[in-house]
Amino acid sequence: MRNTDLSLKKLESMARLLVPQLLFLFLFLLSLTFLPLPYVGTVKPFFVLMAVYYWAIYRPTLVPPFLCFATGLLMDVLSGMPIGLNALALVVAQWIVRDQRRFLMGQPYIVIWAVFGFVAFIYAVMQWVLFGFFHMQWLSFTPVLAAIFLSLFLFPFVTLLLVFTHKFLPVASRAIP
Amino acid sequence: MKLRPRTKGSSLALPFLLWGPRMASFLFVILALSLFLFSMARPAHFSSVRMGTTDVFSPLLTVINAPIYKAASYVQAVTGLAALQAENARLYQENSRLREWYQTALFLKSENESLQGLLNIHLEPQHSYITARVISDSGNAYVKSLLVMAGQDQGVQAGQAVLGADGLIGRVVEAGSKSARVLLLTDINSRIPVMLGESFDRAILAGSNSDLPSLIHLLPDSQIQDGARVLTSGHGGLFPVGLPIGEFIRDDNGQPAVRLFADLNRVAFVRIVDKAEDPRLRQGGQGGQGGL
Repeated sequence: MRNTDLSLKKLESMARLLVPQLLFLFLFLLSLTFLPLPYVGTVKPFFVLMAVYYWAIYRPTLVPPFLCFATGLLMDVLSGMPIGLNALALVVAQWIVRDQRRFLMGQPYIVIWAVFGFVAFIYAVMQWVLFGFFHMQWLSFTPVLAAIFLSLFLFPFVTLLLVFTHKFLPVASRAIP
Repeated sequence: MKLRPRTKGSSLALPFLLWGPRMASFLFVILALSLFLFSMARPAHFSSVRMGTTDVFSPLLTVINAPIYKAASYVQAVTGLAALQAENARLYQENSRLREWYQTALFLKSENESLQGLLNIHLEPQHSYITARVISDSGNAYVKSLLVMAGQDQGVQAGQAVLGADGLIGRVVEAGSKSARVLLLTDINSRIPVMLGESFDRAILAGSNSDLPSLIHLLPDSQIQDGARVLTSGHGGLFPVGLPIGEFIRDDNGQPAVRLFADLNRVAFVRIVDKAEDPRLRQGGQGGQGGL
């Protein structure tokens, strides 16, 4: 009896762990599709970076460097970018944020939001420099700035979803802010 | 606290252990950087991996795209009623004008055919089209491309021209078995040979990642007026002659550029121009196909 209970519990905690991953997959797919927003054109917000940033602060084991690398690589392959560009940018962004998580965990949301803007800027500059280096041609930075601001604007909405999935995590492994 | 004496091996590993989770990040940074440099040296090396992965992901992207497109069309339907009426009136006018043109075109076509018959002229063969749905616009600030739901199984090959509703939008750069990637004319890697105006001046249409691709290698003394039609020239043998692209304008810096006929932000279906089998065309030498 106790045995089945335990395995059920195990199953439940596994299912709970799966919820944030499903949201991660959804954000990943969303970052590849065209959003028919007026005046936005092909400016893509950094949806995946938002999830990577959030989990690097509150639960780094959920989105480890390997997952960042694999996701970035898939993004490169599917969006026709130079291979390794997004993989590198995502792993570095996760590294930076994870190193500062002890400071960030205790901060109010407005600080978390502001720091996301900073991380998004670093991420975008990394992409821009690597892409320019790849083609030996420097593009205009304006669409990149637009993407940063759009990401900053959408971050609170995505955070709501992330906090929602955060509540699904098993209690023992939940490190709520 | 008493420290345990260390063996030589553990003292070597210590710096890495102290680094803890950073080690994984560091390794993946190195791996990503190597992949990046390798793809820089050999960009074509990953082409088959790209299309294989895209084939796997294309159904997923279709699923996630469908509700987004549907929602967008509902929003447009609700908010666009007034615009719809104006559009309707405009279309009525345009339709009556086009009817006259249709009659003229029929007359000119029959006249042209009879004159061609008299001269025994050999024009290029007729092309057929493959129509495909756009499953994802994976373009971003850096890459301007589309994924379409048709691949080698449907006869799509790299190098084929791709038309939107109003004109050329790009060309197929990679074709998987069920999906293909279309590089748009606005991408910085896009170069298309074109001709302009009534004098058929030649130039190369070069994408610049902005909405207005520029014209390079245009003769300095060419007298092209704003609004002149820009068509594919067919040079290089990759594209058919005379596909409509856009109209000639000068950009903010006074440089020659093209305003595309097709609205690249609203492409739901594309027509891919199937290369016709022509016994008179010879297979090009190595590297001759991807020369554009």
